[in-house]
Amino acid sequence: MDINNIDAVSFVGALDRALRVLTQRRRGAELLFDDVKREFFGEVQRRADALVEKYAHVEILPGPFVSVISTDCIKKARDISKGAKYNNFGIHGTGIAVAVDSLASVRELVFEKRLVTLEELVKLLDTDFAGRPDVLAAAKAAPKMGNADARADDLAKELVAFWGHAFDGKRNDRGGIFRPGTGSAMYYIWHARDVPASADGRLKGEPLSANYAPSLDVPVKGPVSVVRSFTEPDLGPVCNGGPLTIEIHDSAFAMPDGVGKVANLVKFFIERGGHQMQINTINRDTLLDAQAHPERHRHLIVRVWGWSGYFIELDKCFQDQIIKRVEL
Amino acid sequence: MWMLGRIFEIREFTLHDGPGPRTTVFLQGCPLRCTWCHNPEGQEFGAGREMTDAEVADEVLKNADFLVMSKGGVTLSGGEPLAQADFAAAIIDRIRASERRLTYAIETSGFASAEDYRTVVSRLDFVYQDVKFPDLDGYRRWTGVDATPIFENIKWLRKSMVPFVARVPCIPGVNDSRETKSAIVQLVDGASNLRGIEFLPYNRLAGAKYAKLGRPYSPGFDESRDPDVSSVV
Ligand code: SF4
Repeated sequence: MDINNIDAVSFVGALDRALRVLTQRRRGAELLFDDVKREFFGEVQRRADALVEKYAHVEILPGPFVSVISTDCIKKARDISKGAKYNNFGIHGTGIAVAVDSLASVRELVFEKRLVTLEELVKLLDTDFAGRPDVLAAAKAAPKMGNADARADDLAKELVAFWGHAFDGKRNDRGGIFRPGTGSAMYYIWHARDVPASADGRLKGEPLSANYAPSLDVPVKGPVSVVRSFTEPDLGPVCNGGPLTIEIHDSAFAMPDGVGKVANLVKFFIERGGHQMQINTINRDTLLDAQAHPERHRHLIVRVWGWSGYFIELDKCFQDQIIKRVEL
Repeated sequence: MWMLGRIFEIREFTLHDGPGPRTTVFLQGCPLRCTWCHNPEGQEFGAGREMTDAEVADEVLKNADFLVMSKGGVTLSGGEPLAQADFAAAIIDRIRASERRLTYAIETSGFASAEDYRTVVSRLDFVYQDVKFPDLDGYRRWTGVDATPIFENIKWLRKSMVPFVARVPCIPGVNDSRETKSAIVQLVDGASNLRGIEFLPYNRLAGAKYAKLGRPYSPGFDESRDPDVSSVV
């Protein structure tokens, strides 16, 4: 049986680790930005390999009912928990935008502007940039994914291309493959707990970007640029998929041709090779009011990741993440 | 030759400014002072960011593939775009030179010399013409200008071939009575190129923007009342 969400690699965690390893290992020889990328991709690969090992053999509770209605289970007299026709495991890659923005920031701050050394930057990540508001401001102003800016999007292309082949040739003991993806499921909340501040200017405790979407609170030009950025990478190999989440103000749908205009955006996304797009029609004021007066908004439904839910029933951390998503 | 002008924002995927999704170029500076203005940051002429017409065109054309595919285009807004009429015309010409199939529109108060108005409007496919009052008194009291050129330009627009929509920002107790609205309608009614009259509620959230700019917000009418946006057509 396929399991879409078996685990995830935290790209933000991998980059943090890579930067620390580099600063410790460095002896005299001058460091280049290519070294940073190499160390980062190496760490992503190590984490991917560790998951392959961890999930080579998985015990799943038997599912007699699902077995009865699944192809081949009866013919082979085998419960679905022991494997069926499809036995692939999906692995998410969490926080792509934050990782890409952080790489872009490292390149600009450390290697181009030489505002800080890598050692200094890593120390600042442990203290939320204490004492260096200039570095924090420069980190926030560095190129961000979602603005159709090649200085960030080229790095996204490289990361997605690498990730798309991180599991090539690997199989689990049911013969299934490991499918890398660009989604996050709930890992964007979980992984945020394990990392300090990141080089893009995100402070400790602040959430990661959900799914395949821009970092929170980054200034983006608008949905067309977001679609352009997120369809620059070749999404073919990251076949577990992952949604680009876009928030569009609900007034767009109150006008006669609003749906048609938004449909054009979806078409543009698909024509550029996009996989999956989730459109939330929300209005920040409504969400804030729903937090303050849940009884007035019992029927408000929002898209969370691969599912939709009643806003007032979500945990506050998920509510806050949705409110903070860029409203376009 | 390049031309310099001032812009306060270039916003992509605007949905309320013409056919199809559009990119809206907000030009900096407005000679009017509507007491309810929801873009006070766009009023001052010295503010905003200096750009050349070529830079603006480049920025807009980055999304030309999307705009063409979705039969959208470019809308000039402000501020008052006609306060930089030569720059506005240069932007249109520059984008048009790319030969992409885009449509061109403007959102204007109409406060401009006849020459400026005609120079820009004759380049466009569509006009959103603001009509705030049916007479000079209303304009003088609430926007601070002598609106003679506005009425002259509206007269010319009616006879031009350029399709237009009349937009009426409805302000409670100021211009939302049946009589005032009927008089506004009379100004444009019967024009063969009139595509509609929109009665829109003024933007209530303006007050917060003034606070940010450190300016007092005293619109001079009862903000607690909803404007009457019912049509009189
Ligand atoms: S015409 Fe428009 S931009 Fe100018 S003051 Fe009035 S509302 Fe503001």
